[in-house]
Amino acid sequence: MSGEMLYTILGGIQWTVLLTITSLAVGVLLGAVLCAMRTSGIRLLDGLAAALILVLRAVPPIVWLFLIFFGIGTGIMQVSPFQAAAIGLGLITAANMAEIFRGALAAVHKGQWEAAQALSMPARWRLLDVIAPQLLRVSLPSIASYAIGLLKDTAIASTIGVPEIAFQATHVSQVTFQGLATFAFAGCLYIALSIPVAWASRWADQRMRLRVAR
Amino acid sequence: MNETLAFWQQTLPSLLDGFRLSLQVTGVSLLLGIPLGLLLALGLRSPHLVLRAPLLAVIEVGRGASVLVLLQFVYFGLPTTGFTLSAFASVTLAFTWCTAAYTSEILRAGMEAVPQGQREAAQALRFNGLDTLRLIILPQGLPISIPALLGFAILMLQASSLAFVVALPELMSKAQLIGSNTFQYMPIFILVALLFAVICIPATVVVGYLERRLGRHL
Amino acid sequence: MQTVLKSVTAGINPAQQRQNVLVEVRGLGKDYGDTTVLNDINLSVNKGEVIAIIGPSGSGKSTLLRCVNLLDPPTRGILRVGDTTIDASQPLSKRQVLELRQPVGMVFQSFNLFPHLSVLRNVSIAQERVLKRDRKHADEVSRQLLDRVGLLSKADQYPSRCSGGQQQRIAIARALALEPSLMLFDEPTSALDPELGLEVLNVMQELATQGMTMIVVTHEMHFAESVSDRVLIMADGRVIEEGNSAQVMRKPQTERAQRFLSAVMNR
Repeated sequence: MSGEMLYTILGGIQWTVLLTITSLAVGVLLGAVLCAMRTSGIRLLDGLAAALILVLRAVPPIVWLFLIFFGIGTGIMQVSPFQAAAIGLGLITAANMAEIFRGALAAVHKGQWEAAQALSMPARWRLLDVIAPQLLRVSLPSIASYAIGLLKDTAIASTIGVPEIAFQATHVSQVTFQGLATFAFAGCLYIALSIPVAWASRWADQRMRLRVAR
Repeated sequence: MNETLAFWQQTLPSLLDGFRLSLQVTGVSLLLGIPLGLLLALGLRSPHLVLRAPLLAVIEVGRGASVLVLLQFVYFGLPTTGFTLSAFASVTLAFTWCTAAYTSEILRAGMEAVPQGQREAAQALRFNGLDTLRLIILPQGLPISIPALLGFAILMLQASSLAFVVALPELMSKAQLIGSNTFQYMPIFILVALLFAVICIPATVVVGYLERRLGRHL
Repeated sequence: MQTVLKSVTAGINPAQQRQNVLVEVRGLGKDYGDTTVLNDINLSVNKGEVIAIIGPSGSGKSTLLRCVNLLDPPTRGILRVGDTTIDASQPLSKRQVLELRQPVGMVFQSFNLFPHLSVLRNVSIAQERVLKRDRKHADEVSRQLLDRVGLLSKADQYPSRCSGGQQQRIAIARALALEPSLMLFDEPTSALDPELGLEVLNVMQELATQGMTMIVVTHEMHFAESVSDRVLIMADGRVIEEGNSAQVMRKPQTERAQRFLSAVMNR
């Protein structure tokens, strides 16, 4: 396989990374909102969020992407492939993040809430200073491992035309008929990209392990 | 609304045909992949690096590569080595590999969750390694793994929707065909979503219930 | 001949073997990485003797017990159980471990019954797999043993339906099923309410009366004083006092032992 072919595939990396980061960012923010809805104590909000999360996770990602790109994109308004992919993956990530945050909330020791209340800290500071930092630290390993999965899932965006790694690999294999080498290379790229995330996660996890009350 | 319902009624049989194929390919992959996953998990316990290294490689590739790329690798890649497989066989091969890789980790965790005291009791009673595994560890470790395995099965069914890229006429493939013929993209993909939801939502609820029940037993 | 050769190479007097000394420990030590948990332990146990090991937490009592059946192999020293002698400084083979464990039964603080098997199967399974008895024979023996500990009625139930005291008694039956000549008890009643613990202690007392050689790590001071023949007091990985139980418990010689006993007895 020629260098040019390799270079083409490598060109997809920026899109893969961009899509992953965008979806993650959207997902974390929306996920926090969904989690807040679920733990608000208001039954309507709780039920709504729970239903949304269930549906988002029950339908395959590719179907969401197609719904957004072909469904909304051709009928209601124009959406670029990247936008459709980012929205779709972002929504699914949000659903998963909501569950991760909910679990983390339960793990942060109940006593922390009560101690903050006993010190008469106003609700907002309770949240920001005591709970949220610990919440983040507890969730970090789950978020990191989800991020690795997300990185690989971005490959499905190739089917709606986002020029990331899998898209480029498909294109190259059609031109060169060297499917084995092409897709092997693409596969290795995904594996290689996930390694720094796994390392960073382990490092962060070890550093933060001590600072959470269980 | 009526139009849409009529459209759905019309297209449902074709979609259900595809869905049947989706379920089949998922089912076969799980049936083959989970026992393989168990073998991998057991093989990793070997003290010999010569055995562990290739197993680790199989697992890392099965887990590390994107499912889509794995699919394409098997379907488009194998023919260049002289081996040609049908779409169904390729998808099954790729999914079995993926299943074995992920479930080996699930099963390993399940076996490790068996309390250490059980192993010590078996040691004190002079059980040999094979008996300890067969009679004490696996009977407790496998049930522990069931919720996670079921959760994975659900994910695998969802992953089958990617098989259209290798021309397997499953659900997604049928939907795309209908969509491009009728331009009724929104309705058809909503129907697809509904079909998946009808299976996956109850399945997810069952898994959640099982997780809670199993937790109480321990 | 084999026996004599084995003991000579380990430096232990073969004459002693004919004298019913079941367990011999010389210079035993155990390290976990940089930490020394046991240091220079010497112990002899005669057939039919009941030894109680007491002491503060972290003194190494359980570790010592677990060294005796090699659940935690010692780092240095010589260990003899029955006819098998091992030198801790040499690598240990599986065969040696199995040989040494052959006459030894163990009862754990957390019972460790097999939750997925019925009570009867719990007691029978090792007989079938290890002693190669057929099912019928094994079940017969199991029922006798369960009767002996007063739990025959529970034979077809599962451990989760039994109280802690009952589970521990079943665990004792399970260990007895392999016909050991030495029974090790690792804090058998520490996880039990006093009432339930009493059931277990009664079974242990009966075993002692019937002549079983026992080494018991315990916090039960009354048991240590009344049922055991000898008491070992451990602290910081060493044996600080040893002797006839009545003597050691009432009139400890060392200051450390006195401190421990007064704290424990006066609660």
